[in-house]
Amino acid sequence: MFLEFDEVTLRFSGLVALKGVSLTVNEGGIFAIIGPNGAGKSTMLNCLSRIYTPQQGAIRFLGENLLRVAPDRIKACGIGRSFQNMELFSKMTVEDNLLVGYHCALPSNPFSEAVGWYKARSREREARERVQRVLESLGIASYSRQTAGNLPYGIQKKVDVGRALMGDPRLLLLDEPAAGLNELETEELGHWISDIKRAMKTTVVMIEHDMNLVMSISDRIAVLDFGELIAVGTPVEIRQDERVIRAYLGQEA
Amino acid sequence: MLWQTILSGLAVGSLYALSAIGLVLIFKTSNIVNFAQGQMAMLSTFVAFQMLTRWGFPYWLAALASLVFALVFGFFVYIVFLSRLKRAEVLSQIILTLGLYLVFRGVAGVLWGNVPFTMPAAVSTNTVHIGSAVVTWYQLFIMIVTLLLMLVFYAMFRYTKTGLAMRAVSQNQQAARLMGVSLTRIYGATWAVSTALGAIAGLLIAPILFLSPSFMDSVAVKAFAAAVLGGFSSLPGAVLGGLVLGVMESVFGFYISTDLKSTFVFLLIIGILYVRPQGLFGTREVKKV
Amino acid sequence: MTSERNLRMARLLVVALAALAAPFVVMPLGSQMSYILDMSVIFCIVAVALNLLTGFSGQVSLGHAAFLMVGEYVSSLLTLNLNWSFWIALPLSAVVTGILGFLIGLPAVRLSGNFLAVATMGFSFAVPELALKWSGLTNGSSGLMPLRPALGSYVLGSDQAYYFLILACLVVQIIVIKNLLKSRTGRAFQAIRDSEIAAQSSGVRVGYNKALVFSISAGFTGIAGSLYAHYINFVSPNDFTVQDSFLFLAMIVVGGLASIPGSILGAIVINTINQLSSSFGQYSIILVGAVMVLAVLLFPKGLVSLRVPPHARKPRHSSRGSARVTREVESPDVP
Ligand SMILES: Nc1ncnc2c1ncn2[C@@H]1O[C@H](COP(=O)(O)OP(=O)(O)OP(=O)(O)O)[C@@H](O)[C@H]1O
Ligand SMILES: [Mg+2]
Repeated sequence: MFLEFDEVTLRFSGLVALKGVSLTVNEGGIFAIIGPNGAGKSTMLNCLSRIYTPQQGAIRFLGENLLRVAPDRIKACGIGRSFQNMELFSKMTVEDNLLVGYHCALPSNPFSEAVGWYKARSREREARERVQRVLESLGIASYSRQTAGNLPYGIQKKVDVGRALMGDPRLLLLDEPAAGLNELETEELGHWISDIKRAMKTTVVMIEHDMNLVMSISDRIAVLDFGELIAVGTPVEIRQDERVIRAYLGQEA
Repeated sequence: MLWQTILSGLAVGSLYALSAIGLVLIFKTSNIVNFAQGQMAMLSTFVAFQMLTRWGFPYWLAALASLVFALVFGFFVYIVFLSRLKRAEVLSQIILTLGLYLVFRGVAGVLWGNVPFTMPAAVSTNTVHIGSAVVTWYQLFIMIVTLLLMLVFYAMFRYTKTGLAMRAVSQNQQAARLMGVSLTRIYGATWAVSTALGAIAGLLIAPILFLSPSFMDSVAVKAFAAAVLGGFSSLPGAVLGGLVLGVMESVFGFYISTDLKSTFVFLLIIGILYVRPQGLFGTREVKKV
Repeated sequence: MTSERNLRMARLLVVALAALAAPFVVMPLGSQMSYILDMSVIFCIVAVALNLLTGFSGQVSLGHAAFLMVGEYVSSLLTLNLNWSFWIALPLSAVVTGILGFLIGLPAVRLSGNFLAVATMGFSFAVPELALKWSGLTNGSSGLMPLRPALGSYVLGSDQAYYFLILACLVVQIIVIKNLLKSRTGRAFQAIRDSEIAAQSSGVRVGYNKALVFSISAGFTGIAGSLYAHYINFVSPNDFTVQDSFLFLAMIVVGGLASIPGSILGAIVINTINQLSSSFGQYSIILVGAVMVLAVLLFPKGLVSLRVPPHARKPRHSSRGSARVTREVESPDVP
């Protein structure tokens, strides 16, 4: 089993954000989570990356219960993520943002770093080359020396995704990657995500509101409403699901 | 004897509480820690002193003048200095208030010199017996004034329009502004009120400590610690923090050692913060991502 | 690229020459100026150390006065009581202060902003009290009298000779910190400052790194303490108080947060004004205060913002204004 949510329940003093959510995600492919605002989508990812701890249930990744893993070990387990509001290291350069994403893969020795030994330097150069490749794939290589916080929104969004991708995660979590992007940019992003899946054999779990994007690139879709999982299936199945239609229509009415 | 120690601790603690409320008030609305608060209180107290002993006005008039001075002073400090720094780093704002601290201290030194004066008290400093404890009327007076002020504040926050606006601003500045609340006016009002609070604390403390440009220093530091202990964003927390700090100091000083008083007090504060990093009354803010 | 590099080299050269010439330039101006110069460089070490912690890593400390005193006492006691050489005592004072900094940094793992400021402030109160109380070791308020160090048989007795010792320490410190900031560890420090959550999700151990940066900052401050003690040749419990902790913060804010040249500029400006005006009594603090107020009002990003960094002159890439609005509402959360 690649990734499994097992009866996960999370409460915020009174508010039940996730109600016994059970879900499996297979390796390879793009898995989308959709649902109305406040449905608990981000909360699911936050449980996965151990920012929140559910009161009940288990989350297993490659057989290991993630709830027993410290939050700062998640990345080393092969899970990278982006954030809905980006959470960029806004005073650092774009390059440095991605290098922090590569933190786990670099050897740790503050002493040799402080002295500036050759070995530390050569590892560093190698890491910078990797960063450059990821930036190029995202088409933002020209921004690499600029301060992340000063960049336009769309670029920042890409920096966040790039940071998540550093260190070649086996599982990439994207929280509304297309929010705030225009149509063209969204389309580009869709191609990029599909490429990632193909080229790097990365599994993508993506929260997204843009239905065109979701329907065109996802292999499977889960629908969340008020903390409950109301449907899982292929895009075709989801499009025809009674409860899903009701949840979305109910919201619009 | 324990009673005695606790009671005098409460009296000192009330003073910390008063200053702490002023700090918290400003912090809640504008996110600034005003390190000049103690010095602004000191200057206001000197205004009363000047009127009282040099110009011979009656106490109530001097005290009133001092309060009016504090209100205006606080308002202007905000308008002239802090309002220009709205977009700057919080640390820059803190350093600005530290700079003002030095300026005010220096000005007081130039005007009144560094020789401590005796400041007349509002009520007599004779002692009374409460049970087995001996306290002065003055200590009781301090506690009562603190209590009254807290009630007034509570009422003001709850029932007046300005109070409502202040609460709105402290919850969400952007939304409050959209609702037509003038941020500058509210911030100015907050600075005025909390400076006045500091002035009251100054007027109450000066008779105990002697009046000099540095007389509020230790109180200001303790008020900061008290506010933090209470959570820094809660007015009841600030009061409780002040009282706890006052009693702790008094008890440590009496039973353990006066030499290491601050050490013990701060060790305890660190201990409390270790268990409750958000302070006694603070709420832990979880950042949504 | 090459012109940027040339500019940088030229600037470095100018700064290096100025630093080397400084003691001889101020020598004819009298011994007070030499004293101010030496003290300024000692405070540069403190400011750079504090800026690593506060500017680069986002943690406020009001405990640096105490770290200075710990450095002073460790170095003085080692040389006086154990007769160890200054050249061993100097690094050891960094080690001891660094370990202490790590311990102080542990509660910091859970605290931030004002809460951290108060916790560290307590330390600035405790150390002088302990030094006074523990008079068997520290000689109480009568103090200790450590000596100027010697290189072989040459005692660094003159302010000029001692200046080069302090300068060497500062240069080593800057090289070490610059190396760190350019590498994994230093990036982790800065990442924690900007977003703890994202840092953690990127695999940064937040707690460990917070304590580590505290320790490094304290260690360098300990070196400054040792240098101060052997320069003044007198150590007492009143050497540094909470007020000094505030002054150190003022140095880095006035100079520029998260900037090494800023720390140096701030330390020199604040210390020089402070010392030069000290004979004017009350007017001295008014002056220092006014400088702080004006500096912050006129240059909210610090005095370094006057200097245009080479790469900022390049034309900016096009940006879409509308998308930025959301970022402005962001409320400041340090401290
Ligand atoms: N830290 C928190 N404390 C309290 N409540 C929270 C917290 N985080 C999320 N919630 C609540 O949990 C519910 C689910 O939130 P979540 O962020 O997961 O929604 P979402 O599906 O991601 O919505 P959106 O599409 O708006 O991003 C919401 O009602 C939200 O208010
Ligand atoms: Mg969300």
